[in-house]
Amino acid sequence: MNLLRFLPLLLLLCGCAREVSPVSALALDCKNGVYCLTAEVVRQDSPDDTAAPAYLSATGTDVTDALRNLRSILPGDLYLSHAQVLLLSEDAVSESILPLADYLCRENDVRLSLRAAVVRDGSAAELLENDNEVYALSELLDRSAQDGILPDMPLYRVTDVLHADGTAILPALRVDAFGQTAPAGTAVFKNERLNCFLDGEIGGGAYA
Amino acid sequence: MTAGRNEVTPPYKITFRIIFIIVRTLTRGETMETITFTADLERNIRMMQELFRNDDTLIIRRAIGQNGLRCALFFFDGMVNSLAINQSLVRPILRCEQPRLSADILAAAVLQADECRVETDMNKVFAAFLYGDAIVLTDGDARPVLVNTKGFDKRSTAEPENERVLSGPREGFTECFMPNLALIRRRVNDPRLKFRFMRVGSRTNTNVCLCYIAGLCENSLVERLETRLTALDIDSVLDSNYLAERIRDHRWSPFPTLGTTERPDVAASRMLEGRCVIVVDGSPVALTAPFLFQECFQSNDDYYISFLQANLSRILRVIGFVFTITFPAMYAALMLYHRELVPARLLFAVSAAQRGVPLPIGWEILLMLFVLEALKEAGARTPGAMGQTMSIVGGLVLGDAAVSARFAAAPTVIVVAIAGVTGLMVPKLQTAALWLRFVLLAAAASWGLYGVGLALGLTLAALCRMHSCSVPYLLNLVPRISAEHEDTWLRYPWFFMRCDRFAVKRPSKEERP
Repeated sequence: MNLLRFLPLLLLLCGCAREVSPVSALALDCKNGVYCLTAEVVRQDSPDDTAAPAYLSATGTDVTDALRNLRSILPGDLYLSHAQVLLLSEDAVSESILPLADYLCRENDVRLSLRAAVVRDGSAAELLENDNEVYALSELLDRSAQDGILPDMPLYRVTDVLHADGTAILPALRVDAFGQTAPAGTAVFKNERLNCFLDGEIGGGAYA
Repeated sequence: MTAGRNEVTPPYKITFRIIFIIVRTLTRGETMETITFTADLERNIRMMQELFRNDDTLIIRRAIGQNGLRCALFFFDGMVNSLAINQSLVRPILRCEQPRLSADILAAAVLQADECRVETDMNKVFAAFLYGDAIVLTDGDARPVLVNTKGFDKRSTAEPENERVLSGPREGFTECFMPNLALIRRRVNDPRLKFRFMRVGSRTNTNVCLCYIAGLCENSLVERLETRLTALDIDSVLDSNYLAERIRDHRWSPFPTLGTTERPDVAASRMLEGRCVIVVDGSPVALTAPFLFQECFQSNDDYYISFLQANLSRILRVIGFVFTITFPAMYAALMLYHRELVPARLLFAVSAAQRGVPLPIGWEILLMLFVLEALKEAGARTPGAMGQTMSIVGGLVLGDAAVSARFAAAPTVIVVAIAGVTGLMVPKLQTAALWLRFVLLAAAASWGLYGVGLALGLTLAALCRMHSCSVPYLLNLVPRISAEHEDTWLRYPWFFMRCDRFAVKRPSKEERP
């Protein structure tokens, strides 16, 4: 009977469950000071039961604004816990990326194992949509890091090194001549912003 | 009430008394104590005809000896062995040369039956008579002679459908009382094997037997069960479950506190472990007491096959039980509240499968569990030939159609199917599994994994305070190895198991037979 007294208290917890839209990857572009955030989510109207991706984009004056707008167009709550990759276009990292890295580290849902990569010669959204498969980018970064072709830079490490001296390296990706997403060397950051790229061949095997 | 000798009662009094008795018996379910026979044979015959008016199965056979000995035989058609009636009763009376005999002489010197006695307790007389014995009355003596002439049809012993074994004895109990006891005695040839009879049910007057092995079974247990059985106020007992629900401990608990078996070898084994077995006439299911939680995971096969295989099966059963009660709840909790614990690929696969399904996961699983139970119920009630069609339509077609039509997601169907299949591994806990599945699901859908933990904790607490016939329900299940754990979660090999293994309570050396 004593337990029944706590039942109303427990009932307060009812309804905490929510429908979510899990995001597997994010792409951030910036044009003329407008940020465009593209999310790879599971498609809700695919003809079969395969987890086909869908891409939804939202713009904003900054990353926070873009995220807020993205939330409003998703069918469920934005769920970033299982996001694996954050793609950044060259324009997006031309300014300091430390505020963005800090913001994502403080975000409740985002895991610190989220990998960041810079997209060369194109927009991040286009590269994200290039592989019509959930987690294709994540697997590419995994493989490349294992082979030592690209550095393995999860979000927490990026934040750490940027906070230390403002210098960091991030993996770079591009769409190659065959239309495939491929490693494109290493993006070098100095004073928290993109400084240059090291060619893929120079960095080959260096990160093993 | 005993019948007096040479009493003469006026006919109108007999009629009045019989009508009174019939009315009272029918309306209040009272016993036959007030019926008495007299020394006048014709009046006795009239009384029986009145008592069993509109019962055309009653046969009254008048028999007159060579020198005028007048007797009457009463028995029910279909309940007696006609050959025995003819050869053991009718023929000796017809050949008898005495003109008049007392009931004692008739029983001792004339009738040729194996069990033949003068009985003055009318309750016993009518109980035996209604159960297939014949009453023989002789003119001039009010005391009836009771002769064992039982001969009704019975089902042959076959392997019980619900307790099939891969290896081992294939005999099962039937609905017949004495053959069931004989099946037990055939396995335990020990003079200390005891059968205590009692009658339960004011209308059905059903034979109930309390079986135990003196010296192995505690006297307090026997007395406790006997007290519970004799104290029952019940008008009918048509199956052992009529008694089981009344005499068991924790009547409202879905966990069984009284065992059931349809196999004589299991009944014998339980008695050899110091338990009591209750056999009920008309029921092929015997009750065993006390019943411990560990027995739910034991199977008859365990003792007839290699201990290695038996132990693996036992572990599988335990895992199966845990799975069947927690799997739907854990799935709901993880998908509703704790997605971060789910591997990313699994989450995306489930998320893709969930698209278009109108219900939240909790309600969806609940609905599918109801469908599963409905299919099980329909399958159990469907005649054999249609049962297979039913399972195909229900299990395959309906499941596939539900997924295609987006009534349910494929992962949900799989989760519910796994819960259903694993639930069949522990048939003795099916009721508990059924209820726990729903309770845990509700807790999971409301409070996530915390709710599941809370519900499981409360269940465990309830199990800890349960007992069966004063024996703790979770006896011997604490994780330590000792002599008392020869047959709990695991079965020791027979070469390690002691012959006097005693799962309930090991008797002292002095108590051992």
